[in-house]
Amino acid sequence: MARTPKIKVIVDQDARGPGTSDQQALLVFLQSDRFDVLGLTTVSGDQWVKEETQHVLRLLEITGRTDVPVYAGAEYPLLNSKEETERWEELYGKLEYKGAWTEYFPPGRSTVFAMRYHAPEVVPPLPEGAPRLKAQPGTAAEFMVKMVHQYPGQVVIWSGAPLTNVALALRLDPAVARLAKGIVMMGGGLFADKGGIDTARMDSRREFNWWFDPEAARIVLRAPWRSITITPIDISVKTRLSAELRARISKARTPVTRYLDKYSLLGYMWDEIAGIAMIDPSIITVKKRLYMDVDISHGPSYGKTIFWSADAKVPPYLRLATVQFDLDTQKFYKHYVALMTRPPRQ
Amino acid sequence: MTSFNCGMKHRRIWGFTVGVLLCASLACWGQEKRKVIVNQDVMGPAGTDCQSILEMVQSPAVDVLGITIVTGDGWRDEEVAHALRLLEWIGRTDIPVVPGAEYPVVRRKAEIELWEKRFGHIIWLGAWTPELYHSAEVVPPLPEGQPTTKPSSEDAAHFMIRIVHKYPHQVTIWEGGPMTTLAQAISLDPEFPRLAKELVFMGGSLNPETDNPEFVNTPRLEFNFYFDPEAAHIALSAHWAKIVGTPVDISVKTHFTADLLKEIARSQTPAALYMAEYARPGGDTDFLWDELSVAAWLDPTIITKKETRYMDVDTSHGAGCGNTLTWTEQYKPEVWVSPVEIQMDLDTQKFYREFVALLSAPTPPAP
Repeated sequence: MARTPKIKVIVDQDARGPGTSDQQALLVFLQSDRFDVLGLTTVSGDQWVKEETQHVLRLLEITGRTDVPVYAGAEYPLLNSKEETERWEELYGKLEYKGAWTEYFPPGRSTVFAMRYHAPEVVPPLPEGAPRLKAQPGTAAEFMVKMVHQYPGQVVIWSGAPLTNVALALRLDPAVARLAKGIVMMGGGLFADKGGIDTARMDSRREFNWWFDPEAARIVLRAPWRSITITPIDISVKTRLSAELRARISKARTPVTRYLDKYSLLGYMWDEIAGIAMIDPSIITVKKRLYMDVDISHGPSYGKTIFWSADAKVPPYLRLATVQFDLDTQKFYKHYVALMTRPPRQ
Repeated sequence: MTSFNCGMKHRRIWGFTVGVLLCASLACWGQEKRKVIVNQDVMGPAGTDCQSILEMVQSPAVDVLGITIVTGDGWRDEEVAHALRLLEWIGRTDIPVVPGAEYPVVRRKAEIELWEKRFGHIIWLGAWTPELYHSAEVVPPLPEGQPTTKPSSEDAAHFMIRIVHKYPHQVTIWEGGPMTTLAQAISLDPEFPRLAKELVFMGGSLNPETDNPEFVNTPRLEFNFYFDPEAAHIALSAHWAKIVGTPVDISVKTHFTADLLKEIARSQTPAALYMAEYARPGGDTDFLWDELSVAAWLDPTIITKKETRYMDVDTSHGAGCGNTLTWTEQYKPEVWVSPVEIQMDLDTQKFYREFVALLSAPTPPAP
């Protein structure tokens, strides 16, 4: 059997930790043999970037992947801010989840621990231990530009985060869109209130990554990528990390599974699908070609997903994306367990 | 570092006004040169973009650490060529020309054309003006000749970040074009505005007294802001130690006239010869937009009236897109808006004298 070449990927994540979907998505890339992970880039979103970077560095030590360089990225979104969001809430209603801008999380809501709001420069002590590993000098955006030039046509940019880093890379060098192999992102929402697990009351168009930095999403969605693949919340909410699944993983007793046993949260698997679908595209059972965009007017719909079907007559600056809507959950969980329980690397 | 001890050392003086200029400039009294990064959308040859760069480079009190280029009046790559050629002409190719942002944050030509259909024709669209349009990568033949020198391989945003870290609280960030590159630097490194000495810009418009059709119905609409409203908002919302702005209100009180050019052309220095060859006074609407901003930075006594306004830019993409928003202290909103020292009136004769003197002078050598 011919050896399939590894997929070169830059993994961009708002890497809340310890545990949670954010770190688990990183583990998909770190544990799998299918990827040549050129680097991990971090960005503020679920948490502030400084603390996220520490959680990522520690995860690399735990998985034995200290060969992967880490680049810290944007601390703030392009325009949106905690202040503007609070003003928006006064006008249009309280938001259920605000990532790094949330005042207080009870235990199990963000990570297994309770979390209180703190300023961006604060890095609370890491329960999983402080890393000795350091991040690379230079910005995440600069790193992305450098990599797509070094490997033209080969690098997939994967983002499970607000798109601030990717947008900055495009602004530094618009050629990034054509030089990358494609972009794969978790973000946006279309009909998530229908067909998901317990989603009837969800605001299906307001998805965190895109409303945290709408201008960044706008820049990325309108850039001339060779291919755009989107994992919206519609598909994420059809998955569940259950107690049974977690117990199955814990049985393996590796450094990774011990970490997951302590810190993983039960609930929707937001970002893991986008990574596993790259390894085995057959897990996706329903996908559609749609024009995808985001509202950047600073009104009630700031950050909401806008979309049209592929045969709609749209302005020339909108781009088609492949949007994933449903999956074979059994196949997906099987891949996930296999990846998380693989024997530790030497 | 050169120290000027006016009236005591022997020094070749190029005309009485040059001497006056040197003595008027605070930095001539043995102080260090003022460090500046010049951000500009450099269309040329001559004209407000190039003439403001000349003022900076010609001043013996200034150390121009770099000229960064942003798309605005023209596309970035064409502007880079104009800037390189200008520096070749006056023999200052030691100053790095650093390419900055090629496209605004989100605004695009196609979107602005659709906006115009609904909200009205915009007179000046810079690189996107239909009669002048060509695509971004094209560098047409320059009237002043193609440059032989090359721009820096570093991008402008990282260049500026590096420089302010190297010289904390010492570098003035001067902006004569859309604030796109500044916004990039701020997003890449939130420390950037805190580490700069100040932001000094030409831009914005409140209520200019003019018949100019560009402002008569849309007094709050000014090119640098509306070409990239998101960038202007990002830059103005950042926490700089000080922000100084030269709005259209004061620009329209100046004129680049044939008489001014004639005075400059009396000199035979490289800068004066460049002006004689390429400058074309344009009549009533030929204001000294960026030149005044630089001159006022070099000599604040040119400004006879200034006030503090809190400033922001309309980033909705409706009728008000790109409009300048201002408040006085008493009425400002509860969200953060930056105080900006805006210049409202000037001593025009003093300004013209100093402008002529600067462009007539020999070009100071590289430090």
